[in-house]
Amino acid sequence: MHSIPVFAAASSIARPLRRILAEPLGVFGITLVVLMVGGAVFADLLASFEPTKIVPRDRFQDPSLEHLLGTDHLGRDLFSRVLHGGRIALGVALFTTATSLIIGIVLGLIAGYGPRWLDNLMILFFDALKSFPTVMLALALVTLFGPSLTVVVVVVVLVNVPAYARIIRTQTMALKYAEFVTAAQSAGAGSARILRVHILPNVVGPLLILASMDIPVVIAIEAGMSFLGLGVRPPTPSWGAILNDGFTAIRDTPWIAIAGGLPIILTTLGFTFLGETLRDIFDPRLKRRG
Amino acid sequence: MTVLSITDLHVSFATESGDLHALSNVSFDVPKKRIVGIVGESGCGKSTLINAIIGLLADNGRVDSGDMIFEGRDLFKLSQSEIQALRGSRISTVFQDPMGALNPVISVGKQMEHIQYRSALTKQQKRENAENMLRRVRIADPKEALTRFPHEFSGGMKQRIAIAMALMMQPALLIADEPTTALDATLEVATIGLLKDLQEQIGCSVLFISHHLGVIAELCDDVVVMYAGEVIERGSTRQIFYSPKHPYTKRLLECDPGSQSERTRHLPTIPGEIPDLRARPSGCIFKARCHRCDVLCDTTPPEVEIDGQIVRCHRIES
Amino acid sequence: MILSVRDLEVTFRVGPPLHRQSILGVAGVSFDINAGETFALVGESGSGKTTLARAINGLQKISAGKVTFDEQRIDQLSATAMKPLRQHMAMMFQDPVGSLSPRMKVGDLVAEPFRIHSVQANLQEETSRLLSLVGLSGDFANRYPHQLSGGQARRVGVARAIALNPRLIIADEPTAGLDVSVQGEVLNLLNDLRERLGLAMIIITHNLHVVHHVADRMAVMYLGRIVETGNTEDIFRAPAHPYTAALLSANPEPDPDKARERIALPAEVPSLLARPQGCEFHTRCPWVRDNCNSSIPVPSGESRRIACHYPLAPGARPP
Repeated sequence: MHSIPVFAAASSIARPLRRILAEPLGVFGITLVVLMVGGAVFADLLASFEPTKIVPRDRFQDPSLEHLLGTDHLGRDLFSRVLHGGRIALGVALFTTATSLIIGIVLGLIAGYGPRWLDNLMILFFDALKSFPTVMLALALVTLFGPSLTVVVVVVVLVNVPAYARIIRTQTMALKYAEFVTAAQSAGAGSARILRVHILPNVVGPLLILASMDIPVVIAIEAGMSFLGLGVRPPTPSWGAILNDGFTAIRDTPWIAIAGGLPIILTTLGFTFLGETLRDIFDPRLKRRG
Repeated sequence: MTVLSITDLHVSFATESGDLHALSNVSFDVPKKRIVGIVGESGCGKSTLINAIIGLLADNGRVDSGDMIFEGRDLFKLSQSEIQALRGSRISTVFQDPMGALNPVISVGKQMEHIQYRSALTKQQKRENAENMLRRVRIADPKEALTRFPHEFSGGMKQRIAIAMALMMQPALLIADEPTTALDATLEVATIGLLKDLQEQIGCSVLFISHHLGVIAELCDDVVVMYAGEVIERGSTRQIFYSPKHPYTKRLLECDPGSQSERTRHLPTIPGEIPDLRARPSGCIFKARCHRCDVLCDTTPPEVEIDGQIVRCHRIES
Repeated sequence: MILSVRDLEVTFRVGPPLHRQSILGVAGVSFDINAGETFALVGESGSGKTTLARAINGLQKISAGKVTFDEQRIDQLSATAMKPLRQHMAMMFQDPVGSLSPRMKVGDLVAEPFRIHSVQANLQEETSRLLSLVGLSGDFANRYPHQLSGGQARRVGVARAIALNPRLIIADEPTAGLDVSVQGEVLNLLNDLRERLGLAMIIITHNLHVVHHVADRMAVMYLGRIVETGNTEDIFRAPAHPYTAALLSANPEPDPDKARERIALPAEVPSLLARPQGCEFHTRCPWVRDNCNSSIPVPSGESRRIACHYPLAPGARPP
């Protein structure tokens, strides 16, 4: 009986979906997202070769029916590498975004609803964290702990949490004195209950849309770090690593670089368009639709 | 002489679930130098009516049919720039929230100068006009008030400044949409008194929208009663309050707690809700909630005129 | 006697950290409420009536004075100690839809008091029972607040307030935002429930016509103080404090010919930061006399208490 829907009750999944498809940008975005996510999820089925299988005599082949994107300098099938790289990219993106959201939401709720001194302390902490340039933070952590996927995840979480917490904090503060919150206090609800039942469902919506538009950023960070050799270790096929290989081998063939860069571009475009369409749909001020 | 004449106005809005008929067959006049009150509850179409008059209907709204003649000109045949020329100079508005008219980051004096942008006066003259206007709305120390900002004034004073701004260009028609609803009782009556005095001095007409029956009774010369987008009765104030003919009007007056001088534990109400305006019922719009409805009411009721009082009902007793 | 308030004060600290000022939102208020009685708190903006209500309900810190509810002192209780009492004292808020959590269904909203206080009950049954008590059909339980009309939302507020059988309900502007034709619904409902459940009620409002019909006794507030208390009928017939008289005359009736015997009050309400000396109403009082600006009137009388040096005789007009 106790259900807390995230989006306004009147719309089930069907209505927002219909409205997304009504926008050309939305159609484009959702198609790309479905393609990229599908490719990552079904990588095993779709990839005809093993992504790490080295076949030296097949190196630097151009795209063909057998190798849809050609092969790289070690003869590995690029299409398979891209598909499996998608698993890493999207896996990292979704995991870190989820973690950042959970931590950010909890901290934001506490900062927004709790006493002033706690809020001041937390803001100080968030701002300190945000003042680190991402690249330097990444380099510092890599120096300390060595390059790995974990470092990538930690970097991204540390970068995102203050931003998300800030947003939730502002929204929470706006609702702190709302009449329905006072009504709950009057009925005897404690802070934990008020945050969980009354405030959280009303502040989380805009953040989710923002987070979906951050996914390309996370993918870019992971790709960037892998490109620099600071992320996943070879032979794991990260898109950034493929891009790096592509640059080294650029005089032999452009296809490796294309294979590395193209999925990054497509995923970024897809999520960004989808996120922007979602934001436009849920913006209460843009009520022009007839 | 009529300042504003509305005939058979139909306005609807296109929504996801069909057309919403916000106004149906609305007709009434605002004579020169008269205060006409529009009484109605939520959903009666008051806001849509005002927006239609000043030409600011939402993008999904459209005028299906009808005429609106203002000072002899058909408002629907004017271009955007012609309507814009009318707003603020011949037709001005005062709303429930004075901050709808007041810019929080510009001083009151500057704003009142800006309103006079069409006149060829010098800055000094505009400033004097503004000061005089503030004095007329009984703002203490008007010269000094010109230099202050809206947030430095109380709610009641802000509303008076809004009224001053609306009347400064001596419009032919002032539209006031629930201007006193957010004010306390003592402030409300003072503001109503002010409006009445100013109306006499300037000689404009006023279209006064309110759901507060007592204020309408005190201020207005004529009354238009609206229900679910239709004008169901109109006449002089005395006619409407002393001999209401439409069942809705009668019940509405009964429901007002101010109309009962004796203490009663059980206040009258009108059970039910307004009909869904996306699917207007045939016949009389009020029939679902009317205690006097019968089979006749399934057909569109006629407009009956008795002594200048016009009622849209089948079941009028004489 | 279910509620007793003595010399209640609520102070706010305002202003920048180095120039803090104190304002008295409630400046010393005393009154009693008996079981089953409806008591109205009347006043305009700045009178402190809402602050007073929140202070009694434990939502606002009390700076001085005593509040006794059901023989227990509640003015300095901690939030934890206050919690069990909240089953017996419920509050309804001004904004009918805004006081309902937007993403919760009506059924969950009405059942929330049970959940908060861990009361064992069949929630489905209780919710249906409460909804029908306020005249709403069972399928309302699945609606969301934005799908309700003002009147329906008010009723949900009432259902929630009576959920755990409180002894006292505080209703803040119960008719605000409601059309005239449905105001009666809420008031009739409250009257009805009061008789059936033996509730005491505090109604906060600035609508004097409503007070006349619904309240047994009333208190008029100005700048955080009560200036007059007594039987509603008596006060309406013969107001003794000049502010009460002015307030009563300022409510226009729907009668075009009613002689406008308005008592006009000059100027604006004084700021709480600059309270007038002596009787705080003297700056606007039409009957003001010499000593009104120097000595503060002490409320006098038993069931009819008036804080004025020169209470009005019945039918008095300004000089």
